[in-house]
Amino acid sequence: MPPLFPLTLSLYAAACALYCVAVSQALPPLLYRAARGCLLLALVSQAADIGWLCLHGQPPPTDAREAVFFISWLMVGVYLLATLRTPLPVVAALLLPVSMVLQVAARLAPAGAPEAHSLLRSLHVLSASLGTAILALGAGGSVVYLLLERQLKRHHLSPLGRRGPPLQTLDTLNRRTTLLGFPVFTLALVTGAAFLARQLYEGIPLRSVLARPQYVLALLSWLLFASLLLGRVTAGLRGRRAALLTLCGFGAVLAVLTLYYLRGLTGGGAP
Amino acid sequence: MSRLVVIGLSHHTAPIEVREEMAISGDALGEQLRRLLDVAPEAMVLSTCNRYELYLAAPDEATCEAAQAVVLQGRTRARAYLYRHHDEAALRHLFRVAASLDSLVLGEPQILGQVKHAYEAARQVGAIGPLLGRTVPRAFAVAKRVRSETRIGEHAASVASVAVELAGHIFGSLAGRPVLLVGAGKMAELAARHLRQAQVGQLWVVNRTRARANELAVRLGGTAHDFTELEALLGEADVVLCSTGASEPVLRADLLARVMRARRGRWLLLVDIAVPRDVEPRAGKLENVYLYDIDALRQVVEQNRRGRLREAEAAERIIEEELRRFIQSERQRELVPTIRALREWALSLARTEARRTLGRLSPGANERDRQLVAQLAEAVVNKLLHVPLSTLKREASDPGRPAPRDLDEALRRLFALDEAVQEAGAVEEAPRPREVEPLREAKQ
Repeated sequence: MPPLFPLTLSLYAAACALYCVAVSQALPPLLYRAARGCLLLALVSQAADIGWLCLHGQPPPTDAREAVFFISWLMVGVYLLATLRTPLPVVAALLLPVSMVLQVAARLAPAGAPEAHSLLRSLHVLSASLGTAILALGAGGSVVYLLLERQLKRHHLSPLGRRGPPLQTLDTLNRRTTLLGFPVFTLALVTGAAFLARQLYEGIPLRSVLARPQYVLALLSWLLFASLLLGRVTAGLRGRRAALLTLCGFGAVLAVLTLYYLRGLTGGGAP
Repeated sequence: MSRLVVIGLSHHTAPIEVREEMAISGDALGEQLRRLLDVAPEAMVLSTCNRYELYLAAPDEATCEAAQAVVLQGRTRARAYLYRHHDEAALRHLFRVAASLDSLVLGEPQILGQVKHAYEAARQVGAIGPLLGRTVPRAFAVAKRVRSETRIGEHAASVASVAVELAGHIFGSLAGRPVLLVGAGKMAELAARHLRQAQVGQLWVVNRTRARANELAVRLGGTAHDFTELEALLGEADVVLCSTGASEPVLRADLLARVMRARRGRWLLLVDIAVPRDVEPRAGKLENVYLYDIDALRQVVEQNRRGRLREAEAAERIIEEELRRFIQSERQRELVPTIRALREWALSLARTEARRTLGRLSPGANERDRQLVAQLAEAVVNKLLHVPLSTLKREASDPGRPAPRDLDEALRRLFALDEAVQEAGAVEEAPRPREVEPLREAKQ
């Protein structure tokens, strides 16, 4: 286990608690800064852990476990970068528990059999991780959008609704994360396909490849995000439908990640 | 010594006709303040649509009666609705009024500006002295604290301002967003004024009677359009306020569905203040359309009002805390002339004795020795007085202890300070807020 993991997790928990309080009641700006500072410290601490893992021969592309740990770090990093100008504590309150669950799941899993080092494989894992982290932020924003939209339609605003960001800000977040996440995710898909083609060429039976549902799910998620992007550009798709489509797409991405994680537990390799 | 007194009536005690009768502003207010200065040393008049209040520094009850007669000017009907508070109760009332805890719309922000305006008007005619010069600015500080530490003013509390709040939840900033007014009703005008304050962009007015649309457009700084342009304008506007007198819906769901297609799904906030409703209720189900009719708006207002009531409890606690603090500082302040006189008396005694001792010293004593003896004498006085004066200040600020006047009297008798206190008292009148000083001099 990386040496700073308990500290990292504690810092994430403290930041998450502060953001949750911020969502339920108005906090003075100092506490917002404290939450952000806590999150930044946690990010640095986890980065140190990832560095330590790399030095000990367990970089993110090693196996599903390290990839999941890396994704949990990227999710927070992407959130902090994306909310430099517009703080979205409610999105942080949603994302941080997910990130913490991923970290714990990663650290609880046994180490998988190390895969042979390959540039294509590394590129695939890194782009898939980054794409997942970016799309996770969009999905977090979409959940908040749907909650607030429902309250506005029903004419009943909860404290979350009163302090939540405007719908348009959340939709803009969704648009930007899709615009940025989709090409990265596409790169992951292309490198994954190339890696798979090489495996087929090297003699892996086609039947065993077709038996893996993660390929179909990855393609499905790509199609969903592609249609979201196309809808935005051509038909002015936005708001509730865009949020729902994002959640469906991200659901498929999460399913792929879960399958890889489970395969890692049973000793299977990735991709 | 003057006491703070408030004499007034408000929406709690008086009907609107009486409040209208008492309302005063401009030159008439200045004239009334000048007449009040003939009977009282300090006065401030707060006149708004919901209250008329006179704040006085009154040495006795006769001053209050005389001041009341000046403001009533024979208006006997108003007399029955008047309330009068003295000292702590008057101070609490002032703090509560400035913090908008006594307002018709709890937490509304305008009242603080109105109290500041009243203070400024009184200051300009020289009606602010040491008492009001300390208490009213403290009320401003308390009001600011209430606003920053509670959420009493956070949510809109009127139908007009709810429209602005809702638009904020959808669009964030309203700056530059086009607004369409359908109909020229009073409520829509009021809501449009609120939106104008939020710096919205273009404002279009559509009405079946073009002349009324023109009038309203001029008043709001917008542009009037024919009813035939409605669909095109709906395609452009982000916020639509409806208040026609039509008996059938003006904006039907099918029209709005068409409009939303043309808008490519851009969000649209429809605020329908008309009764009967101007917007077909089914339109609220359209995607990215947010429809608020008068009942929905009232529902939001009521939610906000309940939220403000909860915050008012926290605000009342702040008021009580500030009141205690202010009263403590005032009680300590009453002893300042006596404390100063006592210190002066003791120091002069020490200096005299030091001089006498230095006279007896050998002629060879140098300047440094002389300074040391003088410093010794002063140090003994400071050490001797430190504990009793600290205790005195503590006792004076404790409301459970005797009034400072009793302590003051005891000290003066013990040390025969009467003469010294009179001298120090003359000095004490001097420290007043800077802006007040020239005004008091002018009055003298």
